[in-house]
Amino acid sequence: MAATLQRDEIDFAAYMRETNPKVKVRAASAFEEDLQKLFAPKQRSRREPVMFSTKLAGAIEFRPGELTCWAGFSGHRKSMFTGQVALDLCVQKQRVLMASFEMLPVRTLERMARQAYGLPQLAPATLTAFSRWTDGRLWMFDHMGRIAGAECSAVARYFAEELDGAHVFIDSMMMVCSSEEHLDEQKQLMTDLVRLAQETGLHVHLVAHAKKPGAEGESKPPTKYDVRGSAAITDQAHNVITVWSNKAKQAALQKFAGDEEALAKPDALVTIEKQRNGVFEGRFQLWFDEGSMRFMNDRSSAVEPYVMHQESLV
Amino acid sequence: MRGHEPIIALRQRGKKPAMVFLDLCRDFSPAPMWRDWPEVQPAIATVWVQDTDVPSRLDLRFLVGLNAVISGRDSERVEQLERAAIDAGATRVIAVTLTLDERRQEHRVVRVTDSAGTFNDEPTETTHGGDAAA
Repeated sequence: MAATLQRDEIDFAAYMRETNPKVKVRAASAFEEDLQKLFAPKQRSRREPVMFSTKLAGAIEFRPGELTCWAGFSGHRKSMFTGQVALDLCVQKQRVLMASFEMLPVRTLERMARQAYGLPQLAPATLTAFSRWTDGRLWMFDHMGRIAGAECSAVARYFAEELDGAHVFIDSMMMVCSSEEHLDEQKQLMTDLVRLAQETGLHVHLVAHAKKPGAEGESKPPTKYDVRGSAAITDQAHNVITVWSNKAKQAALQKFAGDEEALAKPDALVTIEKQRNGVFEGRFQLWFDEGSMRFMNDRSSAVEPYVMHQESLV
Repeated sequence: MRGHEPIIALRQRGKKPAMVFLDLCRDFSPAPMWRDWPEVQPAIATVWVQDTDVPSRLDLRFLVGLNAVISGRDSERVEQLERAAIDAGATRVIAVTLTLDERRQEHRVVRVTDSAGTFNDEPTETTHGGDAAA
């Protein structure tokens, strides 16, 4: 005989209210297991994934259950940079979903393929090899334009639960929340995404825009206080990283391509503005290779193709 | 922990499931049942206790006055969850520790404890299928 729902004799709502304080106050020793894990020496093989292709490798790990907000002015190569982060994660055999609402999936893949091989143009056989290599590592959310917050969360949850996903890139928040004026909607989305990350172990990478620059223009990198919209975005995110492009350098090189003074300057500044569960907060200078769209640690290093065996290791 | 929220919602509406399965291994519910139980079998709830959950710190108040069956392969975690479920006021708690027979791809019961005393330590039956969905 099939079991059926029963009438509850307990006034459950009242029980939950009455017992709320009791369940929240715990003996400190109840946290021993977590404390042990925190102090346990990390084995090389058990490191959390990093962006190994740049200096950020030693500064921040993309831990499960966290949300990283990638912020910057419009047109400052946030998506290009996060594409390279995603590629690095794929090399480390992380399962990654790109949900770019501002760009066709094929454009995102074009950039990532160029970054992977370090070349501006790729042969058909190379593209086939790249496509095969992405199997089991990279998924694309095939949707452009606005999307409701609930649907965005549902997609991320599906990826985590059904496809065993580890990282989702949401690009950008502006396409999920209907208006930058709707601060409550943004706060709700952040609450939902942080909770989703914690429940599923997913690392959520959320791209956000910086406010329109003031009198100084775009000459100064934004800080976490310059992220457009609700303060909840940076308050609730575990990590906040800003990406800034050196537009002055680009302008100088457009006037004179051989301007040595300009060439010596970095193309980008990437700043870890906040890292809740890590130590490092600070800034990195990076150079940009136009042909491969790859961010590099310095001006002189050659752009090498990634090691992309089926069993690729960093 | 996943799958417990519909139990809370149900109980806030004055209903309760006949039984709650607390699975310590995801592959015990490949469907996954912790997500689908409200539609598939609303009177038999399934809750997935994830590897990252610390049993002693879980909010198991939704178990008060209910019958619970705990299953897992790590005997220490099974015992911790059993204690936590009893502390949370579950009416009856049956805790089952299993081992995976790699050759036959089947789980075998290695230990049973029953807070009502009926099924204590009678390891005989094969209970679950293989690990395919892990």
